[in-house]
Amino acid sequence: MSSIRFLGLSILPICLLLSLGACQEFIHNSFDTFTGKIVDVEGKPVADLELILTQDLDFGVSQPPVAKSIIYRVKTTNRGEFRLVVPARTDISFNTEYFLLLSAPVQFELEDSGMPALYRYFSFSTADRAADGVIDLGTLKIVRE
Amino acid sequence: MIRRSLVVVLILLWGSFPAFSQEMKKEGGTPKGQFNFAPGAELLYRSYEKGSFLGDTYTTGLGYRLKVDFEFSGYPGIGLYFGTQGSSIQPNRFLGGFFKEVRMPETGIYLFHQVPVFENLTLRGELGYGQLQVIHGLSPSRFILDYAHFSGGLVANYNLAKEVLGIFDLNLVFGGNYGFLNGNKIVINDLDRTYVQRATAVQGVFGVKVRYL
Repeated sequence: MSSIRFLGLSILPICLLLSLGACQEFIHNSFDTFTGKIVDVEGKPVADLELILTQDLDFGVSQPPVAKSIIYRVKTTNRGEFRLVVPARTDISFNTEYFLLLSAPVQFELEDSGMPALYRYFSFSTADRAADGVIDLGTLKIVRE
Repeated sequence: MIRRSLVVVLILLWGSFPAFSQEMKKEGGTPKGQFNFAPGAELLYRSYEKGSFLGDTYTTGLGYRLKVDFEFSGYPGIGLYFGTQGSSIQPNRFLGGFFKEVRMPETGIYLFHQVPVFENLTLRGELGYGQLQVIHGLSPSRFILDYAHFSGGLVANYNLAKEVLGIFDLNLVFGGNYGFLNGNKIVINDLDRTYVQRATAVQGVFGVKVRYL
């Protein structure tokens, strides 16, 4: 009986260490890169537009969604492009969803069930990363309010 | 250009040491071929070149290095080291503000050859290879970046006391080296790859070494 208890006590720390390793939140030596391009309704690149990257969005009922904490605040280039780099998270970290917000009075025009719909944020996950860690968000259309 | 010049100078110095050593042996000193074992502890300060990820993202502070030399007198020796350096994270566009703390432990191996210059002073060339880990955060939210560190340098040993207790010599150690860091395991987009994966560093050390007789 005591030997079984001893065996259990010996194995427990090893199991705990292994489970900690399995729950690792970040992928070592790996960065995710979110790239994309912002265009207007005519398809022209929108330069110098401020984008906010966050994982912590407050969906208020009577107000537009607000970032509770901001990862980056960047501006699009002259060609309307953006590039955001973060440490890559493992798929089991339960924290792989990101949001892009617009600080200007504009909204994203996204497709919802085949119909265009306006959103104040664009959400995406890191599931579809390429071998070099790039997650191409494609061309995002915006509409001025 | 400066980098290449430094490498050439280090290689020339390295190559000239054995001949210089032979000359000194004729004038006396430690018998050639005597085995030496010399552990030491050093304070170190390493600064990464600006314009690289390591140089722009981290502000480095004072660190330490524990090392041990194995050598047959008059021949090149080999040594092992472990060290770490205090650092803090500056605002940057790669880490997302996810981490507050960072540690930079490094373990490695080096080849050296030393020659006496004056009665109490020896000069040595070192060529090293180490594995630097940049560890952000705490487990399980750790994020680690691995770099290979190739370095070359010159270190002076000043003999403070000979045959202390009949067991060891006590030496003061000071010097510097120049290194290249290569993080080719790091996965990142091609536009930022060189910036993140490559860096150079200069390092100064100051410490003590005990050489067992």
